[in-house]
Amino acid sequence: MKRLLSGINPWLPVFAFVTMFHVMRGSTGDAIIFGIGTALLIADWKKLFKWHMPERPKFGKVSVALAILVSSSVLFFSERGGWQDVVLLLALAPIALTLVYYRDHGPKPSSTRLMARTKWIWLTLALVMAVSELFAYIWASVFKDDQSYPTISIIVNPVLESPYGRGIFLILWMLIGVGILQLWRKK
Amino acid sequence: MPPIPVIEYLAVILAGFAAWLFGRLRPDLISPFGDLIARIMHNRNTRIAVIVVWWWLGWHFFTV
Repeated sequence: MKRLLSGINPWLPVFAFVTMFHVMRGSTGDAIIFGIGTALLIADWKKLFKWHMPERPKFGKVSVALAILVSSSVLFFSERGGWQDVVLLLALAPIALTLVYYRDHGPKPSSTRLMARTKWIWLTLALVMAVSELFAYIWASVFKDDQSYPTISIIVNPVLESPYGRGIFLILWMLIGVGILQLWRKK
Repeated sequence: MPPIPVIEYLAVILAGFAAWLFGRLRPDLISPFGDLIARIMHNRNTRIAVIVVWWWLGWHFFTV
């Protein structure tokens, strides 16, 4: 068992749990997405992809800004949940995966006490958020009252119906994407 | 008074903002958020996981 689980990424059990959670609550779409994510993590962990591992792709600021502008325009001007949004999001999925699927460079940086502390702080915040939402979902289901126990979706949905709310969320989502992909990071 | 989950969400957002700000003002106490992202995104498996979560957020809020 120890050998089987050797080198497992901590994200894998999290994804497996989220997939099971979505299966149990009957959210097929979300279960499929996290199921595919789980399969990708297993395939990468067990090195099932036999193809050539590429170098990290590089993009200029102009091309990234143009892609953001086009994507934002589609998501902003089309009806929320329309086919344009679906097509765009489906097109973005393989592009985003391509942007992160490259060979790791150099040895893994050693974890300093400072970095370990920082990781724990952010991990705690993420866990508190996740548990808060999980319990809001459970209580809302038990008491049939999603106004007293709103999940984040319940709060955000009315905001996203307005073009301004959608625009703000869009900018935030895009900036988070650029940030985690580190497309504009200098070093 | 807002519902308890809303208070919890706001508390986490405020704490996250404080942690982000602290990282910029006192990098000797908390690493800047960008450095943390650079650190965790060193690993390909983590990159895949993070990008799936990011994409799912977009899918969940824009198409559902």
